[in-house]
Amino acid sequence: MAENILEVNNLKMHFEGKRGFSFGSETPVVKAVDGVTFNVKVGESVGLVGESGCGKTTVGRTVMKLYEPTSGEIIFQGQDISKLKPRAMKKYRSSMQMIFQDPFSSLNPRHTVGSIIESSFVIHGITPEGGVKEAVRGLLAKVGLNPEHINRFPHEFSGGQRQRIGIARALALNPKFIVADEPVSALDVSIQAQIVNLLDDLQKEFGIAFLFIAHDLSVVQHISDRVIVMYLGKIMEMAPTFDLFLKPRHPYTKALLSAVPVPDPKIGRAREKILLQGDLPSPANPPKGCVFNTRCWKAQDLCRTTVPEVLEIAPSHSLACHFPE
Amino acid sequence: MAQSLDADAQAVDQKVVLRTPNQIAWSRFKRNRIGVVSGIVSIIFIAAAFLAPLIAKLTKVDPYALYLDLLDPDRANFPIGKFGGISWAHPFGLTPEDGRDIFANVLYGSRISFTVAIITSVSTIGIGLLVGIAAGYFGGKIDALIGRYSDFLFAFPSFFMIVALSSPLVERLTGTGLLQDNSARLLVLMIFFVFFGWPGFARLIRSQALSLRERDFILAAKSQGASHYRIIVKEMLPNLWATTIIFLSLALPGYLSAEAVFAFLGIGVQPPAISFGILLDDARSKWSSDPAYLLITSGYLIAIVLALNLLGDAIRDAIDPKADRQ
Repeated sequence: MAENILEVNNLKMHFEGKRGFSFGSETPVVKAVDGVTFNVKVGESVGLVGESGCGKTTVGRTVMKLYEPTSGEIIFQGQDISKLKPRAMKKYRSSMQMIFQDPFSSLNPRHTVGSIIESSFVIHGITPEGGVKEAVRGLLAKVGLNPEHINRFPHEFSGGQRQRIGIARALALNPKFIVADEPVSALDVSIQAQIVNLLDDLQKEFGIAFLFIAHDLSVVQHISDRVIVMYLGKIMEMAPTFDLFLKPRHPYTKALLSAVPVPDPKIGRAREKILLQGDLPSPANPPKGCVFNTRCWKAQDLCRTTVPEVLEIAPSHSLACHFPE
Repeated sequence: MAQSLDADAQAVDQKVVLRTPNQIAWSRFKRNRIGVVSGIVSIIFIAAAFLAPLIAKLTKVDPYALYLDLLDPDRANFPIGKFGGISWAHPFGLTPEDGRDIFANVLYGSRISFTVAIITSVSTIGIGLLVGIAAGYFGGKIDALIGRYSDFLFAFPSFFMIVALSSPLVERLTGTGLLQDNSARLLVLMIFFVFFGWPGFARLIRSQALSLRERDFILAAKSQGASHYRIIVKEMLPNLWATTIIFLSLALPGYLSAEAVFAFLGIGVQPPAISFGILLDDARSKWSSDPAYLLITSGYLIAIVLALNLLGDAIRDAIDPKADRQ
């Protein structure tokens, strides 16, 4: 068993709608992440999936300490970082990095590619071997860009190239752990494949642990060793990729998988499709009991009153459901 | 686009050196002919204003001297010669009736006007940037407090405040013995300008900082471990310079004219000191007999304003990475 690089225990991230002076008026609390427990092993790639608004991105950002978590532990390399002040946090920042969803917003339009990538070295006061310039060129080459483009501005690149720049920035300090927040969902399909393969190669080459946030299950299936399924701020199911795709146990996972398009229309028509009724409930006012009970076709009275706990039903296969498949 | 890529490609071929965005902006500015010319003209105007005594001495003119012998007593003391008495000794001519040298007056006048305009616009922008970024970036209570305070200032009838309060304040200031007469009046005027001027710019910057804060590159900088200071200076400010420079290029001539307006109303400097306001007031009262006087003084002001505006545009284009695209 490999060691954990990241352990998240009962993490909660609640946002208050308060702005400025509220003068005593009550504002709703949005429970974006509500008691999430999982771990990422050294060199492992964990996929985090779920529909829009289920809190995947918030999990990623809270783990990166871009938000101050409401409660819970984030243990990174054996140290609880959830309550560290920014100054104390800085030394962990070099070993954890983030890749962002929108490559058009994640690169400062006023900076050149060179100054974007070298910023990591500058912030941490590190001079790599052979100088910053050589390191930046090496990183560009590593992600498949022309090293001579260091003086160009982000707008001169296509979406896929920009995402590669973002990846080069994340790789600069040889991180041990990268949160990839939907790194391919803003790209078109042919470019998606290139970026996914690039991340796959980098992960194998440098042994970087990934938390891969996505809503595209086929991408997750390709890149992840393990998959976590989230719904409304809570973990529904957590299993090795192969097991999860072969035999999903949670009704929600099953519904998600049935929505993945299949290229062969014959198989596609023959397959059982589960259409979930209704909309995602508001995380400001989640349903009582199991959060999925309003849309679950198997929901019974127990589901409406009691929150199912996340239980390990098989080795490294956990589930939060009263009536699993 | 193609042109810029080619230019960049050439630079790459020669030797790929890592250039900072500022170096790239400077090389782009140098290629803009209008920008370079307006920059040089602006520098000449500003230098002429601040070196006014030196230039007056070199050209042997005195703003306070009355060249009465060059006036024609038969024509109501109108200057002898064409266009209000333009000659080599007096390149902008002479004022009618008292025969003062317009060139020297314009130089001395622009010195006071420029001092007021530069100090007020730089202070306005400095305070506005600081407050606007603080409000937009930190948000929350700071933002609410600053927002309400600037609302309060906006609600003031600032023009009447200046008119009503400047003379008692000048008396106070003179009473302390720190400053006298014109310097006291100018200081009061500048304080008023800044006091009522910064909220507008702070609002503008706040709105931009607010939208910048939500961009992913700010999050990226945070996740790299950048401090608030670094995020503000390295990530936010480069995106705010364009707005700032446009505002500056509008504010400088704006305060230049505002000083003229208040001098005209008798609130700014008073004669015998010279400023654009006093000159234009004088020229306006004599324009039907000597239009050259008004044309030359207002033309000088227009030339300054135009040069500064064009310079502002050129700088904005230079620092905008996308400006090269056709």
